[in-house]
Amino acid sequence: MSEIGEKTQLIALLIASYALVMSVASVITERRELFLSARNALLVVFGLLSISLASLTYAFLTNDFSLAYVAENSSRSLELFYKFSAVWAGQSGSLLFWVWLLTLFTVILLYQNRRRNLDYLPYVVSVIALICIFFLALLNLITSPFGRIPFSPPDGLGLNPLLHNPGMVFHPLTLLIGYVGFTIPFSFAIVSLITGVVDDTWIRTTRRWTIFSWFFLGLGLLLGAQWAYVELGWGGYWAWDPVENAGLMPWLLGTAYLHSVIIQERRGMLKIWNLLLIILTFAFTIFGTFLTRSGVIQSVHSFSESSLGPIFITAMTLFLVFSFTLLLSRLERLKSRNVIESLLSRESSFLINNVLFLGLTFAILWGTIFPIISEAVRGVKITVSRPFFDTVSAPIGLALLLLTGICPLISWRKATAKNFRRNFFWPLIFAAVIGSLALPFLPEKNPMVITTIYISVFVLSAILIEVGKALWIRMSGVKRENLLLAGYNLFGSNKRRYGAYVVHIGVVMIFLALVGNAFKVESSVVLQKGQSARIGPYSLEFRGLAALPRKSFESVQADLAVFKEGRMLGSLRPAKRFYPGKEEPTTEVDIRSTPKEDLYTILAGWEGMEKASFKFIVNPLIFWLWVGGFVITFGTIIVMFPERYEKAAAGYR
Amino acid sequence: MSRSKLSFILLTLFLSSLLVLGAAASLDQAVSELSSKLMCLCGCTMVVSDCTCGNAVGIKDSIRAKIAAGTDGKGILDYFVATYGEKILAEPKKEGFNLAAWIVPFAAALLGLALIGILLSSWVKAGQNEAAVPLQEAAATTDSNYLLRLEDELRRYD
Repeated sequence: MSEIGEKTQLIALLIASYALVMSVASVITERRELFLSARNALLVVFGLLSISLASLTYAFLTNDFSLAYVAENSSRSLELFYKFSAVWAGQSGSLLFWVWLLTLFTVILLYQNRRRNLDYLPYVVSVIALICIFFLALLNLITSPFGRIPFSPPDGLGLNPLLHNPGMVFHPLTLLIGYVGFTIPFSFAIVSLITGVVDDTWIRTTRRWTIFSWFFLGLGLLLGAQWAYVELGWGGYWAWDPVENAGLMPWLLGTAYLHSVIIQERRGMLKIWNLLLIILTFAFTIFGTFLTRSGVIQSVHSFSESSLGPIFITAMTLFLVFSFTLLLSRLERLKSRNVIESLLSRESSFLINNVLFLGLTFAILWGTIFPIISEAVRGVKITVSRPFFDTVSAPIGLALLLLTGICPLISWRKATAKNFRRNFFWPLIFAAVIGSLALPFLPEKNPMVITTIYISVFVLSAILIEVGKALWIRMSGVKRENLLLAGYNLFGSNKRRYGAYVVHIGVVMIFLALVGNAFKVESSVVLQKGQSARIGPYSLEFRGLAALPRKSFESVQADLAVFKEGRMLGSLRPAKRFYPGKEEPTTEVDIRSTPKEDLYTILAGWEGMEKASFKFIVNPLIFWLWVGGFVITFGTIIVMFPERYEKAAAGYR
Repeated sequence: MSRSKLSFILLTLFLSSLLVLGAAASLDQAVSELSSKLMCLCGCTMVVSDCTCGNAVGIKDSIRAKIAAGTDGKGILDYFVATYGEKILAEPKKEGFNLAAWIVPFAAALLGLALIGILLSSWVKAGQNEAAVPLQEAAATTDSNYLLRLEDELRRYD
């Protein structure tokens, strides 16, 4: 079966090359049948890669350890669920999955555009075919998941123990969907540069693809944070690890792009800027793929090592040189009539938002690569870790949060003093009153935390007042709609705007969860069986250890009874797991989560079965980080729904 | 023993225990603060305060011992840098070439904001200098999505 997958992977490379030749020929000769042939070739590539992916999955399910990739990432005792996720646990499998996703998205794209953008498509197919060829060449020539070992071992090395977590099944999947999805808007952007048709057609055509990719990338980051929180056992969720940064950077650039395209759509401005942003976003998605799976940088998220580094760097350089040369060659056509009526306008606030997003991305990139720069200049190895990134990102992040509240309150074109006073008055009052009321409850008066609370209340009240006013008009006007109907009609009338408000509420929740981090309390204790320790409002009694053999690992698990104000709340069972063939055990934390705080317990070590050492952490407000993720998901779904006028527009064609 | 004497003793005991607890808490806090400035060297890429591996525990014990011996925070960090090199520090020192790590991100953000300020001012000036836009041109630059929407609304109210 794996031989079939290997062959289809090779044939896919040949057919993708054929698609490139045919699509370029159709552009040159303007013969539609050549384009149709190229289009069909890409459909065939999708089919072939589906067979390759299926045969690799089959190899995992049937324990075919003659394949080096399967032997390195699976074992006989691995649970069925994780055998599926092991397909993308290493470098070559991820790359196969990457290119398969790209061809899947291409099939959807071609179906969506079967009657639209027909002039664009031959170019788009060329760009996508070229990207496919790059990844398929890597897969066939350098890092094939179908590579064999001379003799089949009786068992595999097993999946990395840290990947034995449901979060690690969905986290890479969503992240990869986000990474790959940005290829579509990028391809259309490049095509607009090649053809010289630099109006906003490419933006409108790919708007939903951009939001889709942005959402999945964000979801991937959040799921990664959730995985780190429950699996890495340090009580946090974001360590500013290079691989985390590599995922965050394209998301930040994508967010900047999502905001700035609104200005191009409304005012015809920022054409160069938007093209620049999408090129950078795509470049960073490739950089992210490369960093995660190449093993060039030591990271908790990097599970493979390879010699792909120089190839990726060369390809990235060529790609950037090509894209920027193309952009420069079209500068004359891209010049737009840049006129705004006032500095106090929504256009200005969006531009400042863009600069801050770009500034934050640059700060993260700078911190990530500074150790390499420092070593090159001084010859001394240094580390740039969490304290640096926290310090640098906090002020920029807060400024961005503030803009989240300011932008909806400022009118397009020109905000008058009256408009300014009217819109800002109540949000500022709410921020001052509620923020001040919250202060006495803070365990520490940290200036950054206090600022975040004031800004968060301001943003929330700004959004809620805006929505409330619009609802009131519908409920009290001629139509006299009830609240539910008014809400439905309001969100339906402008899904983009109100969906974005919901997304912003989710962002505020995430910021509030970050505030909670400042009040984290932790304690390391050694307890004899029957002894108790206090942390925050909780008392934890150690009731003993148990050794538990499982199918694919052995576990040593502690039993902790949790009390609060004398009342028993339940038991927590943190553990350490020992996987065969792995030197270090993994930490399995146990968490009691409430909207107010998480009680996070870690079994650090033990002596005999009666004495153990623990780390206990009280993490305030973490719950809202995950709720914020759900709210963002809900908001994105609203934004993604077609507008009524779009349906009407489809009817005009 | 009179009630007042007993109260005095109990109060003294209570305050002493608070002082002891306070000292223990501040020692823990000092260990936590210093260990959050050092990287664990087990390969986890986390700071020592976050990691629970044997290596991190060893470093925390060493910090605790040095505090107890009267070494100040700077002395303790210097000791670890002398032993393991600068890479053990979780953030670059704010001196020499490493200052660039701290200054460049903020300088870049400020430069970006200054540039955008200049750009925005020039665009506002361009707007003020421009005569009223002729009707035809205004229609051409109006958002085409908006026109579609308007057309749709008009059709529905026909």
